[in-house]
Amino acid sequence: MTILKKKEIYEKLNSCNKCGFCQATCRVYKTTLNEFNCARGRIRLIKAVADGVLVRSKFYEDAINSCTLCLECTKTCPSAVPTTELILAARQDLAETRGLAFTKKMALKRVLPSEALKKVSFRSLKMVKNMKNFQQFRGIDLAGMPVADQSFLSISHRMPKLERPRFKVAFFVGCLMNYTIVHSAKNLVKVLHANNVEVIVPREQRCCGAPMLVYGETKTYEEMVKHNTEVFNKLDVDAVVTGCASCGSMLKTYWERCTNKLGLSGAAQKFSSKVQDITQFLVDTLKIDLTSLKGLYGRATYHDPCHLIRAQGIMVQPRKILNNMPGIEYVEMDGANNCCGAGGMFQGFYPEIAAQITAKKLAGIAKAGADMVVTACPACKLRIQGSLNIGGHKHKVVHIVDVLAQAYQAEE
Amino acid sequence: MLSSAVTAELKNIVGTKNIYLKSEETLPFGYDATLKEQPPDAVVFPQSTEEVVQIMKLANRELIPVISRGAGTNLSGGSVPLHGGIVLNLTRMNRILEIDTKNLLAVVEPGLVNNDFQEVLAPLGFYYPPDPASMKVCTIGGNVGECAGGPRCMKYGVTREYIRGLEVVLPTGQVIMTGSKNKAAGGGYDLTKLMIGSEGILGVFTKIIVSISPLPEAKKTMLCSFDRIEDASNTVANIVGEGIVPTTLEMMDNLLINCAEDHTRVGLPRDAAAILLIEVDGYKEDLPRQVETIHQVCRKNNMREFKLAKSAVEVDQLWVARRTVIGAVARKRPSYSLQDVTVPRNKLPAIVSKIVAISEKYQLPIGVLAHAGDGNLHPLVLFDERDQEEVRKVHMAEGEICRAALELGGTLSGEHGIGSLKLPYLTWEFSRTAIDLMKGIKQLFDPHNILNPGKVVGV
Amino acid sequence: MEESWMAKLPAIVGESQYVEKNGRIVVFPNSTEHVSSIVKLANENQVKLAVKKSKESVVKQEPKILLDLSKMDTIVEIDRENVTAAVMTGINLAAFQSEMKKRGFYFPPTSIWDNGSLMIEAIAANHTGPSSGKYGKWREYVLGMEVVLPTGEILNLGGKNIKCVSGLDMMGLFIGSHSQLGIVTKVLLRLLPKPEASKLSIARVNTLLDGVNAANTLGPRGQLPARNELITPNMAWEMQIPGIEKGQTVLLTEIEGFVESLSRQLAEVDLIYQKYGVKSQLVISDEKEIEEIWSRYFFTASLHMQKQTYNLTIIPSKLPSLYDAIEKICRQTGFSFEMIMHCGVVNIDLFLDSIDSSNLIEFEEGLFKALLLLGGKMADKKIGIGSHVLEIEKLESGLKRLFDPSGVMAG
Repeated sequence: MTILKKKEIYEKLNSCNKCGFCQATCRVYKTTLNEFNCARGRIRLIKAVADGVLVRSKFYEDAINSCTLCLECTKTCPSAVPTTELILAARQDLAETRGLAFTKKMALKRVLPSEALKKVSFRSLKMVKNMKNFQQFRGIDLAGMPVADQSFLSISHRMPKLERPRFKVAFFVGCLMNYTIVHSAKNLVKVLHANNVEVIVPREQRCCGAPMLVYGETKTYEEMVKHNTEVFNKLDVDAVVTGCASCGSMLKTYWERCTNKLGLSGAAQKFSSKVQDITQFLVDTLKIDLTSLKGLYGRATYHDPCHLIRAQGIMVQPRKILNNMPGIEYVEMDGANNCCGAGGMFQGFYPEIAAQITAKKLAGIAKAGADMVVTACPACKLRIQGSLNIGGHKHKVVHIVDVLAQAYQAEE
Repeated sequence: MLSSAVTAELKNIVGTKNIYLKSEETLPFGYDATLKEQPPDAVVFPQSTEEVVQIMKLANRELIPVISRGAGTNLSGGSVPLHGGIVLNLTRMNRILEIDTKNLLAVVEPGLVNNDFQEVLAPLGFYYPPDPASMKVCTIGGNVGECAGGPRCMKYGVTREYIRGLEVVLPTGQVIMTGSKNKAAGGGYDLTKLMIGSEGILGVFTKIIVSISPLPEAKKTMLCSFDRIEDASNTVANIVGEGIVPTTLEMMDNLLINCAEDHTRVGLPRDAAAILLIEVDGYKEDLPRQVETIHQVCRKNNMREFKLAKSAVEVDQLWVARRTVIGAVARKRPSYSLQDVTVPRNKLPAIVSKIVAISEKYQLPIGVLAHAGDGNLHPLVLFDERDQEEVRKVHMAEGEICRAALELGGTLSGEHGIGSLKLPYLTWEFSRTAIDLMKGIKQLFDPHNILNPGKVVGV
Repeated sequence: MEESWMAKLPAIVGESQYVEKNGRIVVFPNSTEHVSSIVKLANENQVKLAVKKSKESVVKQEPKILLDLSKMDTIVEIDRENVTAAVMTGINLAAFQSEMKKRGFYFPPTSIWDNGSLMIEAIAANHTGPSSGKYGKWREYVLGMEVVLPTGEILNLGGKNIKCVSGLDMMGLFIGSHSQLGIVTKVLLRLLPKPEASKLSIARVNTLLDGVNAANTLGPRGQLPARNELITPNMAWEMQIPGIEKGQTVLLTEIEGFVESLSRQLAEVDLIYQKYGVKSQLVISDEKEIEEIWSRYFFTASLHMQKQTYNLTIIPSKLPSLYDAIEKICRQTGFSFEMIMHCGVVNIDLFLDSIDSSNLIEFEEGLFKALLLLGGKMADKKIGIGSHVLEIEKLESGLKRLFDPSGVMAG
C-alpha cells in the first residue's frame, strides 16, 4: 500500500477545503501563476494519485518536486493543512513506486551519506567550476561558489581549547559549512570561544538527512538519523548547536519522524531537545551582551531562512543581535521572510522559477539599501551571493557568525 | 474532447507554454472553493486581449464552452467547467496598466490580485475600497464578475460602485468598451452595470477601469463580545439607528470564534456566544464620539467586553482572524457549505435563530459569520463530503436556509453570486418573467451559449 | 379622434383620469395595475406609449399615449430600522427629498435636469448632478423596484437588502434607460442618516481654469465635498449668491458630516484653494440659508435649460483642454455660453446662448470632435467611433427587442 493511503496522510489530504488562500504566499505559484504549483493544486493531484485516478506521470512528478519546501503554505493555511508533510509523503511515494532518477539516486544514496565521496565531489567541483562551461550552471554561480581546500571537519581539531568554559556544546557542522563556507564554521567556533563556551566537533558526524528525506529516500535518511543520534548522544554537552537552518530544523524533528520505527524515540528525543540554532543559543541561552563591541560599521539587512523562521520559529534572535550591535544600522528589507529560491536541489531542477523567486529577493535587498546582507543559513547565503554576483551587484552576503566574529576580533 | 485541429489552433494562439491539455494537467482547474468539480478539456493562459479574441472566435465557431477563471476562490461553483471545454485562466493578465491619482482612477488587467493592487496603491496614499475576505488571492476580474463585496462595503459600497468601464470580449469575439474613464456614464443603456456581477456568462473582461480613493485619515477598530447572539444582532441594528455608518460591522458566532482563535491565537474570547468586529473611519476628531456612541449601544445590549484596538498590530490581528476564518473551519470538519443569503438588517436576529434551529434539526454544526451591517450572512455548514448521508442532509439544510432568508424578504446572494450552486433555488427568488428576461439577455450576448454555460440563469 | 381601444380607458383608470390634448391621450394612472393595464392595451392595439415628460410640452412628445404618474405619489413605507423607503415613482423628487429631511433622513441624488420632475423621470434619465461626486447616482440607492414591462407584465426585483447580486443586474439596466425597457412604478430606496452639520463656503475665482484646478486638487488630497460647484459669472449673479459681485466666477464648496471635523476640513480646502488664488468670501453654516442658496441655484439652472443644454463628463486632467476647445468653438460659431461644473464628478452642464441657431450643427460637430479626442462623454449621446460602437448599438437594440418585443415603448 502506498504511504498516501495511510490514514494519517490520507485524512490530511482530505482536510483541504480548497479556499485557495495558499496562493497568497506560495513563491512558486506567485512566479508561475499556475494552479498546480500552489498547495491546493498539489494536494488535489496527490489525492488523485492516492485515489488511483491519476498516474504518477512526469507532469505529476514535476508538480510535486517543484516545491521549495519553504513552509509558507503550511503557515498561511487557515485550516493548518500540513502541505509540506503531504509533499514529503508524495515524494516518498514517488521514490518507492517510480524510483529515483540516476542523479538524485547517486547524490542521495551514495555521495551525501559518505564523507569520502563528498570530499571527492567537492574537490572535483573546485577543479571544474572555473572552467568555461561550468561557471554558471542553471542559474547557479559555480565560479563564485567557495569550495574549501580542506573541510572543516578535517581541521577542526586545530581549534584551541578553553580553560574553564561556562558551557560545553557540540557543533553540528552540516555539509555546506563543512565544504564551502569553512570560514563561517571557524567563525562560529570563535564566537562561542569568545563567550567562553567549549566546542566539541565530533568528526564522525554525517549529513543531517534532510536531502534524503525531502526526496523520499527514507532508508538512507533513517541511517543518518540513527548514526547522528548515536554519535551526539555519546557526548556530555549542554547543547548541540548548528549554523545551518536546514540542518537545525531537521535535527530538531528527528524524534517526531519515523523514530518509532527505528526504536529510537527516547534517544532521538534526547538528541533533538538539545539542538539549538547558533542565534538561539547566543541570545536565549548565553544572553550575549554586544553593547561593548566596536569596529563594525555599515547598514545591514537580514534574510530569514525558511527553515529558521518557519520551521524553528526563530525570527527575533538574529534581529536582536544585529540591532544591538553598535555601529551597525539595521534595516528591514521588504519580504525578509520570503524564500530566496534555493530550496536545496530545487534551484538546480527548476532554474527558471528559482531565478524569478531570487530576483524578488534581490529587489528587496536593493530597496533596503544595505551594504551587507546577513543570514543564518549556508544554502541561502550561497544562493543570494551567487545571484548577486551574476547580476553584477556588489553586496556581500554573510553568515551572522561572520559579523559577530569580526566584532569580537576587533574587540581583541 | 477537443479535436486535434482545435488544440493545434489553441496552441497557435497562446503558444505551447501557455496551454494544458492532458487530463492530469487540467485536473487542478476543475474546482473552486466549493465541492463542485469537473475538469475542463483544455486550460489556456492568454496574455492579451487579442489572444482572448482569437480564443473566443475559435470557441464560438466550434461551439466549445469557455469558462473564465481567476484565482478560483469563488464560493458558488461559478468557475467550475460543468460542461468541460476551455478554461480561460486569466492569472497571467495581471498588469496594472495605469494608475492616475490625479483623476482617481486606475486601469488594470483582470488577473491582478486585489491585494497586490492595494500594495501598489497604499504607498501612494490611495486604495481600492472593495475588500473581499479573500483579497490576498482573489483577482479584480473575479471581483467584477461576482460584484464582490467585503467588510468595508457597508460604508463604501460594493465593486459596482468602483467600476468606471470595462473592455469586454464578447462570446462572438467582438470587443466592446463599456463606460469610460469618466466617473459619469455617457449615453445608452448601462452595459457596465449589466456586466458587473454577471459571473462570466456575458463576456470576458480584459481591461478594467476602476475608481480609487485616498486612504482615510484615521480609523478605530473595536471588538465587542456578547453572551447571547441576539444581543449582538440587536447591537448592529441600533448602531445604524444612531446615525453612524461604520466601515465594518462583522459578526462571528461561538463556533467560528474558536476556529479563528485556533488559527490566529490573538486572544478572542472562546466562550462568548458572539463577537462583533466594528470599525469606523474618517477624520480623526470625528472618531472618539462615534466610538463612545457605539460603546454605549453595546452596553445597552448587555455586552460582555468591549475592546478598542490600541495599535496597528492589534488591528491587523483582529482582521487576520476575520479574513481567514472561512478557511479555518476545516479544523472542525473537512468540508463546508457556505451560504451567502442576505436579509434586511432588522431581520438579522430572526434569520440567526432560524439557522440555529436548522442546525439542531439536521444535527449539523453551522457556524454563523455575518457582514452584519449589510444583513449579509455566511452560514457555514460543516460536514465530511465522503459521508453521503451527511451530504444529503447538508443540501436539505442549505435549501432551508435559502428559503428562510427569502421568507424574511432576503435574497439568495449578497456577494458570492448564483453560480451553479444556488441555481436550483433561483425560481424561489425570481418570477418566471424575470428568469426569462435574464435568459434572453444571455442569449442576446451569447447566441451559441459558449460562455460559462449553465450558470447563473441556467442557459 | 375616436379609436376603439380608447373606449376601454374609462374601465381601466376611471372616467376623469385621462385627457386628450393636442392629439395625445394623457393618462393619469392611480396604481401599478393601472399602468400595467394601459400598457397591455397599448400593446394589443399597437399604439405607442411613453412616460410623460413634465417639463416638455405635450405637443413635442411623439407617442399617442402619455403616462402621467403624478397621482402615484405615495410614500408607501419608511423603515427606520433598515433605513429604507418604499415610494411610488410619481412623487415629485424634490418634495420627496425635503420630506426625508424632515424625518431625519437624507436622500442626495438629483440634478438640474430633475428639478421639478417626478422621481420616475429622474430614474429614467439617471443624470449627473451636484451630489453625484460624493454620493453617487441612482443605482447606489435603488435596492428594489417594481417595473411594468412593455408587455404589461409586472416585474419585482430586489428588496430591502443592502447587498444583492442574485441573477443579472436588471435594475442597473432599467435605471437610465429612459423607460424604454419598462416603467419603474415603485422603488425601494436606501436612505442615509441626515448629516449632523454642514458648512457652505462661497469663494470667488479669477478664471474658470483656476477654479477647475483648485477643485480637482481636492479629491486626490482626500477631500470629497458633498457638493462642489463651479459657476460662470452670469449664472452666479442670477443665483444671488451672497458675498459675490457681478462678473465673478464662483466656487461653492459644501462639506457635511460630524461637527468636530468640519472646520478643519474647510481650512484644508481653503489652503488648497489659496494656491490657485481661489478666495473664500463667506462661510454659511445655517441649514436654512444653505437650502435657500441651493434652491436659487436650481431655479436659475432651470431658466437656463430652456437654451441649448449639454451635459458633458471628462476626467479632471483633460478638463482644461476641453474648456479651451469649448471656448474656441464658441468663438468660431458665435455662441456665448454659461456653465455649471459639478467638480466632484467633473461633469459639466453647458448652456448655449443662441440668438442665431444656424451654426448649431457646426458647434455640435466641434464639441463631439473635442470630446472624442479627449475621451469625454455626453449624456444621452454616444461619442465614439469604430466597430465596437456598432456592436454596442446592436446589443442595445437587441435588449430593446427583448424587453419590448412589439415595440410599444416610444424612443
